[in-house]
Amino acid sequence: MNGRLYWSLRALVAATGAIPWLLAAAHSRPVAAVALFHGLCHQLPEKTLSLGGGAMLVCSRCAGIYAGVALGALVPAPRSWCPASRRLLLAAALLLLADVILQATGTIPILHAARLTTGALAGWVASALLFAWLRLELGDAEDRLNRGGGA
Amino acid sequence: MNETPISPAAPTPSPQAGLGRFTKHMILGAVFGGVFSSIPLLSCLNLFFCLLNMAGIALALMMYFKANPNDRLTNGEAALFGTLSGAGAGLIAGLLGMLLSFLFAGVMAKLMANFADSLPPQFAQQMAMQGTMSVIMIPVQILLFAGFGALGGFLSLTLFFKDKLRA
Repeated sequence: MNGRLYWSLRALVAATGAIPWLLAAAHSRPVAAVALFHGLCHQLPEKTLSLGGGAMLVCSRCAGIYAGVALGALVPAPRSWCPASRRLLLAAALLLLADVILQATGTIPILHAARLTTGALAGWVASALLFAWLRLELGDAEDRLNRGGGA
Repeated sequence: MNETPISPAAPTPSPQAGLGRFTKHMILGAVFGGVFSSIPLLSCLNLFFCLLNMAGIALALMMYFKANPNDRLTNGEAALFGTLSGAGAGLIAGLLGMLLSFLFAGVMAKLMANFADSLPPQFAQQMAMQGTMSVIMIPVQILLFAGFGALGGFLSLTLFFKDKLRA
């Protein structure tokens, strides 16, 4: 992994996460985009946020995941978190799953704030840890180069 | 916070250097993800964090490790594996989706021919527009699948193949 690839990947993942938010900000709901995102999200109106009067292309949980993924590419986790990746990923996934079960069973009502937060946390943890690892690998490669050992 | 110890980099015997060694398995991952994502009903699994795309990548990685048991990957390599495989899956899913929508439009056109006089002219326009938009959306689908593919490669390596991680 070299610097150019690292930054390209960060841009790609940030763009991926930003797509539904950019379309919502532009109040744009092209039919084909609705169909495309329908393959990735149930788009139930009662579980979907409205921005400026228009419904988003994805539900609030997915919107949170997309936002978290984009944010993780912009703000990677500290490299010291890398050794605990599995534990952090599982914790974020468990929180998300708990919210899914609680809301699906009607134990708690549909709360956009909880859906957004748990989704964003899961998305951010996955994305931020990926880029923390990549920074670690990039740093190691640079260290080896500086020592004259080659990459 | 210490779960996975980061061991010093160890040289791994790899038959080929670089991403070229993944080509066959990346294509397999793209085909799995793309074809499964285009099958109605089965594609519903993509509602869970683009699961079919990620499963295709995990499956391709598993097959790669089966074929190359001594190889170890860095998270960067796994992410690039996932990105390229995901981009391929997005392309395949987009093309298959477009093909299905054209087939559907053809059937609809034949059915609607009987009611041609009573249909508003906007209907045909909207059908044509929908076809054009599905072509325009293919690059967006590639982008989405590639982005989630990067995460899929990383998550697969971290969660399922942690012993295959090259530090």
